[in-house]
Amino acid sequence: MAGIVSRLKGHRASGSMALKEPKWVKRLLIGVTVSFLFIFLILPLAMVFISAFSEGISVYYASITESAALSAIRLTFFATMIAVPLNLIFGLAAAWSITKFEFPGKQILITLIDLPFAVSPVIGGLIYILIFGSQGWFGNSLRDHGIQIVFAAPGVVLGTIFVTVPFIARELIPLMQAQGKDQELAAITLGASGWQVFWRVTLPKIKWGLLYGVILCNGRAMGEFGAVSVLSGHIRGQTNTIPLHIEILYNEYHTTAAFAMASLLTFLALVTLGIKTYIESKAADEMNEEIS
Amino acid sequence: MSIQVNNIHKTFGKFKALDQIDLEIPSGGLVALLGPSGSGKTTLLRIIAGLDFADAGSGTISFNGLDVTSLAAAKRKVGFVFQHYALFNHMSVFENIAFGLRVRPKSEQPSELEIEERVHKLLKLIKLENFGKRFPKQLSGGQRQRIALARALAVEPQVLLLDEPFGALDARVRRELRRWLRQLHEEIHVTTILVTHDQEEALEIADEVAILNHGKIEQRGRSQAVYDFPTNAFVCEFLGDVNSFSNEKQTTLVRPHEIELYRHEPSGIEGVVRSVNAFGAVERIEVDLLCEKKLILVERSSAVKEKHPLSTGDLVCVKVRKEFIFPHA
Repeated sequence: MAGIVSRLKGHRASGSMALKEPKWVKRLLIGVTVSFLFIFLILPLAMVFISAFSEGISVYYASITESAALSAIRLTFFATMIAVPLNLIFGLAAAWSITKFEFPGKQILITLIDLPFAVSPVIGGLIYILIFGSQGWFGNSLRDHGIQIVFAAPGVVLGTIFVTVPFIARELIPLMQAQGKDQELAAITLGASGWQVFWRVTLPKIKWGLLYGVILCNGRAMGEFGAVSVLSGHIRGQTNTIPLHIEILYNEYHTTAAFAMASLLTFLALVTLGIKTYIESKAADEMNEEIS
Repeated sequence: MSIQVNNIHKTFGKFKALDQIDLEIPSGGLVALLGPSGSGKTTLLRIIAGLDFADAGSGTISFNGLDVTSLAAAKRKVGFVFQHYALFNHMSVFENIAFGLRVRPKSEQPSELEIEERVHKLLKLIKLENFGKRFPKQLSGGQRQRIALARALAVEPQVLLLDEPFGALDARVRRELRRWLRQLHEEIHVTTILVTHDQEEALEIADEVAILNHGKIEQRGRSQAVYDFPTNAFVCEFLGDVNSFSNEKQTTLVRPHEIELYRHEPSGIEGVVRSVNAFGAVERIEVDLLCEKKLILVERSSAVKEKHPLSTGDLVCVKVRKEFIFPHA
C-alpha cells in the first residue's frame, strides 16, 4: 500500500515533467494499457454481472435471498462491523504513539504492523487455530467454558481483524509524520487537555486520511478469503461469509447463484472504489494544506 | 512576571544540549537568546514552556519565584509562538485566536460575547481587523505570524516565548515585523523571550541578550554592552564581522569599521586595495596587508568615502582604532 504521502509525491512529479515522445509511442502505450485493462479487468467484471443475471431477475433475487446467502451476508457485515472499528481504534493509537512519542522498540512496532501484509492470510488463520482450536493452547479451557472460537463466527471475526490490521495505521503514520506536532504543541500551550487536542486539532487534520484508511480496511474486510476460509469451517448457513459462500456455490456447479453473490461483492467493491477516489482527492488537499 | 532558570541540564543521549544554565529574566523584559544552531537556545525555550523537560535531578524553572519545574505546559500560562506559525489550518482566524478561551473548563469559559470582544481587540492590536473570517492558508507568512502571536496573547499569558518567529519570513517582512514586535512589547509589557540566530535581530529588538554556545551561556547583558565589550572571542565573532589575528599567546579581533585607511606613507602598516564594494551607506573594502600576507575587511562611511575615494590597486596605510584582545586559555 503506497499511502497518501507517496501518491501525492508521484502526482507532483508527473505534473512537473514535460514528456516529449513521438505520437505513435503515446498511442501504443495507451492502447496496450487500455486493452490490458479491458481484457483482464473490465471484461471479467462485466461477466460477473452478465452471468449473475443470465437466468433472469427472479433467479438472481432468489439466489441472494435464500437463507444460506442471507446468513453469509449477515456474517460478512458482522465481521466487518467489528473489525473496522477495532482497527480504527488500534490504527489511531498506533499512529499517535509512533508519531508523537519516542520509545524503544518503535521500529519493531512499525514492522509488526506490516506483518499481515507479509504473511499469507492462510498462515494467519492457522495461527489462530493453533491458539484457539480444540488441539490448541486454550482449546481445553475454552471447551470447558463452552466457548467456540474456531469454526464459528468469532473465528471469522478474528481472521478478518488479522488481515486488516495494517490498513488504517499504515495510512495515518506517514500522514501524521508529515504534519508534525507543532499544532498539537501550540494547542497544549494554549491550555488544551490531551483529549481536546485530539478532538479539536489532530482529528480535523487527519480526518480524510483516516476515512481513506477506513474505506480500504472495509473493502478488505468484506472480501477476505484466505484467513477466514481456514477459520470458518465452511458450515453453510452458519460460518460462511460472502466469499466463502461463493466458492461453495461454484464448486457445487450453482454457477448463476455463485455469480449473483459475486455481483453483490463486486458492487460493494465498486462503491468502495468510488468513495475511495473521492476521499483520495480530499486527503491529498489535506496533505498539501498541512505541509505548505 | 519574572522568570528564573536555575542550574538546568539537558542531554540527548550523549549530547549535552544544555549545560548548567542559570538565567534570570526581569518582569516585563524582552530578552533574546542568541546562538548558532545547535547551541541549545530552542531547547531552553521549550523547557521554560514545559514542552520539554530538563534532565532528572537538575535545577528548577520558576515564574515570579514560584517553582513550575514539574508543571504541565497547559498549566503554565505561557504564550508560545513557533517558527512555522503552527496555526490550526482548519479553523478561521477568529477561531484560531479564540481557541485558548474555548478549551477552558466550562466554569472559567468567557461568554460568547466576551470571546468575540477579546478576539476583536486582539485583531485590532495586530492590525488585521477584517481578517477574522479568513483561513490561515489565505494569508501571507507575516500575517500568519501575527495571528499566531494574537492567539498566544488571547489567553493572557504570563510570559511570551518566541521561537525564531521571523525565521520563515523574507528579509523585508522580517525587518517590518521586528520593529512592530518591539512597539507591541512597549504596549503590552509581557515578559518575553525571543530565540534567534540572527544577531542583528536580537540586538535590535531585545533589551538584553544572552549568547549561547554548546549549551552554555557565553555572555549576558544589555545589547549595546555585549556588542561593545564581548567577554570572549566567540561572542565577539558571533555579533558581527571581525578581522582575526592570532598568535601563540592571544587572538586579536578588529571590527571592519574600527579600521582606518589613510594615504600611503613608508613608515605605516602598508596594504593594497583588492576590491571595493560600495552599496548603501557603507563601503566595504578588502585590503591585502603586505607585512602579514593577509586579506582584511574594512568598512567606511559614505562621508569618508566621498572625501578619500579609493579604487582597486591603490596603496594605503592601515590604522586600527579599537581592538579586542583575548589571551588563549
